[in-house]
Amino acid sequence: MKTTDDNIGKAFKEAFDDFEIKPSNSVWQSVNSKNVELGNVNHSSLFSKIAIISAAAIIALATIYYLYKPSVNPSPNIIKEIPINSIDSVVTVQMTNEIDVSLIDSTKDEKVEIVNNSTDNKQDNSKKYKAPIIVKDTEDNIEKTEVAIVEEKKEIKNIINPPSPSIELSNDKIVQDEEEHKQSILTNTDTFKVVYGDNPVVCFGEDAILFVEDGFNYSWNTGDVQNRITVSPVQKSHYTVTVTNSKGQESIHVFTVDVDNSCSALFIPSAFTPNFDGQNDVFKAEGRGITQMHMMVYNKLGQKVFESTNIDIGWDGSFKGKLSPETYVYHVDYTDAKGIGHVKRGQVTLIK
Amino acid sequence: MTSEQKLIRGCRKGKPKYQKMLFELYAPKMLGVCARYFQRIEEAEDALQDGFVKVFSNIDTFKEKGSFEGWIRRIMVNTSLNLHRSNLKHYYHVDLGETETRIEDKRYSYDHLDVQDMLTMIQNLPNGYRLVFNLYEIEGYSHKEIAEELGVSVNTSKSQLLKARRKLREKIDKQL
Repeated sequence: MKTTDDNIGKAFKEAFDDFEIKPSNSVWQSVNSKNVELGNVNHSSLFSKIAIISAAAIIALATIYYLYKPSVNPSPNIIKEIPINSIDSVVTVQMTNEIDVSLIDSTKDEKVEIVNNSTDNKQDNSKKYKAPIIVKDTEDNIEKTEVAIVEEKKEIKNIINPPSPSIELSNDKIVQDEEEHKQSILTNTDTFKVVYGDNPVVCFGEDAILFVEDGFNYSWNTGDVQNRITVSPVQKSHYTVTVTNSKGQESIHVFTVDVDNSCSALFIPSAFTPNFDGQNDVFKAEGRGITQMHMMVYNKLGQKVFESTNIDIGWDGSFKGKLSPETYVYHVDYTDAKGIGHVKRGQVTLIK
Repeated sequence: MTSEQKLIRGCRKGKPKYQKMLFELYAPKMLGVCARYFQRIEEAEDALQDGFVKVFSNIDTFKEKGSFEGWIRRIMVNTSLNLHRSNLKHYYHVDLGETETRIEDKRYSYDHLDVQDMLTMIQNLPNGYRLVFNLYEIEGYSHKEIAEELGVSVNTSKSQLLKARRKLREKIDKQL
């Protein structure tokens, strides 16, 4: 008996000693691509060295070109691309990825306004729309390096900051601008189009669905990253979502979910204890504002042990005069306060 | 320097040429190892692929004293076990329909068996039987090592091995 046992193992071991199977070609390809991903591969041939050096050179040239291009040759086209309602706001303009130009535009714009000490808002607006032209005029006088831009920014800060009768005014102006800018993010159809779902009202215990469409990335304060989330608030709650589009622009939206306490979802317990201690002696569903309900309970043999159409009448756990501690299944269909029908199925355990 | 050492050095430097050579040298044999651990060859190829990525990632940790093939083989076995690991706890439940068949005391000859048939037999064993049989009979692990590796008791390992042998013998009987 023992020898046969040992034989079978030995026979298999010997048979598999030099056993080979040719793997399919895709295996090496996968291994190789994984290797490249993990950095296990080190290309050090002459060709790759040349490739790296030339890539570095191209990047360097491109960087130099980008650094100098906007100031050396400020093209009017770029200015036109910026939406008119965001010219006066540094933050919004930054979002259009034209940072270098926008800094000049917007800061200069403010500079012009502040220097003019304009007090009337309407007057302000009329000046804003002329802003690109003013910018273009002054543009030529500016030194054509980045340093100049930085210096100019400092200069502007100096103009804004020193205590003078115009401070309050200009600060107010900035705050006002920021508010306008926040609104413009949500409504600015030129640069950013996002569709937000409604602010839902749910019954107590119900789930609400919040959704955003046409974004690229979504980040909710609940930690979710999908465009559609399900929330179960127990009281009026706010949910914030930051939507990013494919250009990296961000938009923040706050959803408010209101909870209607006059109605509720149907709650069905998962266990009950009919031992007459006054606690959980009866199995019954609970819910506010339920207009219609039909509950059926079956035992494990499939016999119907209880049926009720009144939400206030529950099951005492008896079937043919006996209490049997086992797990039962229930089927409940009900209509909620809004007239919507639901079906719930589940298990309930009778504990003696 | 032997050619194996040269190969290992090349792979340590991450040279794609040597990596490909290493793969071509050992892959067929290692797929032969992995194949015994899975019912389907595609699963075995997945294990082989993961195993080779581990070989290339960890080649620095190989001490050149031991057998290189043994080292790779051990990685392949462990990778195969890892792929089973998430399901291990389901493998050692005793089937309700398990019937104790009386084994006749007679000597078997296994000379007539083809290795491809043997592989099919192993592949069609229940997962738990297959792992224990492979580890004990072919890889040469002890029951204690198997118990540790699979997170089961030594007795489970022993009984699974007996059942695996019995099952294989039944299959061989049917073939005769």
